[in-house]
Amino acid sequence: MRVVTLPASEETLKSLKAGEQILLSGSVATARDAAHNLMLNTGHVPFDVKSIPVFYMGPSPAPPGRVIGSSGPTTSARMEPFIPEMLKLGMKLVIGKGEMSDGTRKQFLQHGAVYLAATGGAGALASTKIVTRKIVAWEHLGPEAVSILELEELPVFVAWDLHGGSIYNRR
Amino acid sequence: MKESIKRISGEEISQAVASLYSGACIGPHFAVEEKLTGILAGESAGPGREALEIEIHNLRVAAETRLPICQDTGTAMVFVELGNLVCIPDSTLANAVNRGISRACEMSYLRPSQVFPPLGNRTNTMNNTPAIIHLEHVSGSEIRIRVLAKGAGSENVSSSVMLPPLAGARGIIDLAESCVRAGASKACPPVIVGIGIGGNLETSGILAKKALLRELGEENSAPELRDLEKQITDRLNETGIGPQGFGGKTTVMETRILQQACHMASLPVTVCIECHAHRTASCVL
Repeated sequence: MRVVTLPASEETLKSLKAGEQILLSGSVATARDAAHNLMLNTGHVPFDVKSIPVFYMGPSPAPPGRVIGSSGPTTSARMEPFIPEMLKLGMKLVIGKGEMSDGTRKQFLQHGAVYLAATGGAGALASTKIVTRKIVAWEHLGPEAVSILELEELPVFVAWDLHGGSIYNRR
Repeated sequence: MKESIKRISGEEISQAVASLYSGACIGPHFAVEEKLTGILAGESAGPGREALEIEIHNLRVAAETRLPICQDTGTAMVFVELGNLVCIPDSTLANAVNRGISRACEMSYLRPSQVFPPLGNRTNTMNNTPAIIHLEHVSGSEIRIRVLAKGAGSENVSSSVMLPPLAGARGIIDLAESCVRAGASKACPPVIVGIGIGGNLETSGILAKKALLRELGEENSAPELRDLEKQITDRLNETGIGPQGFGGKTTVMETRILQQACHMASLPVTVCIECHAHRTASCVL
């Protein structure tokens, strides 16, 4: 299985194929509903959205001696109202879970963005793949605060690639 | 025969609830692991199978590290069967239960996810209370407590509907299929489908939740519903949605139906989707 180190080059993004499992290393930013609402209403995005992927995730509290608690993805579809604006700001990589609409998929393709799906419910395993966590905005939101995580080989799946491929094919 | 009253303190209930809620969120859940492992054997190579392997591995990691299986430690649902000979002299049931939930949240580092008010500033209550409590008064001198940590990802794709009274099995199957097609990939499949039929608007929902509490692999006690459960599971697995929505044979582990009487002009139905982690625990005091 190949390791993809962030920030990912355009070439790397192009090489990703829907359905492929990869191991993701490097910096990502966590943001969920409340953080997106604040980012887009205040115009303050507390990380470089062009180079740092957005991970839709709100962890459980870190027990003593651990960097972070359970850390699996949340449902991406809830963030769809915010996605057009985030893509315009230059977002190239999203990590979440679950299928999103065809309209959102077209916008990902137009903006050259890739959707990665982490395994929903597998938060304990994900926690063991996170080496640092730094809260960068809105700490009062608790699990919904924006934080920068350093990942070390988090297993994720390429859900939508840059060539129109999707992992969500059904009968 | 003279029946004697059994006294159970609020603190005993709080302790039991705290331990059940932590146990539900962290595991180990051997029955779920065994069920998923059985499903894995039938899945062919591909991302769906790989995701299922991660789901199974995660259950083991959670039990070893004592981290919650999923960061969404859910809405705490507590089902209580209270014996008529039980007296809780020093607390209301709700206070005792909520103290237990709050304690588990703090001691086991569970995620507080309850916010109030639901409109406006949605401030986190920071201890995952209030729990949702369903109380049944039964005969006897025991309290049976069952806890379900119900995640929002699966709850959000569930649905309550008032069907036309003669919609029949066809109507139920179609409703379950539309829920699963629209939402299963967001609900961390393979899912369990709980269906409540009858009662009225609110009871069909409670029935669907109670249906989720049935032991994995246990048959429906109503023989006429067993065939319908199997039909629904088979139909939903034909969708090919598979584990995490990545494609595969198993989208639904099991379907469970509970029913009760309803008004002749109604057919209330709730389809409640439950994620693969299925975090439950129970005890008797």
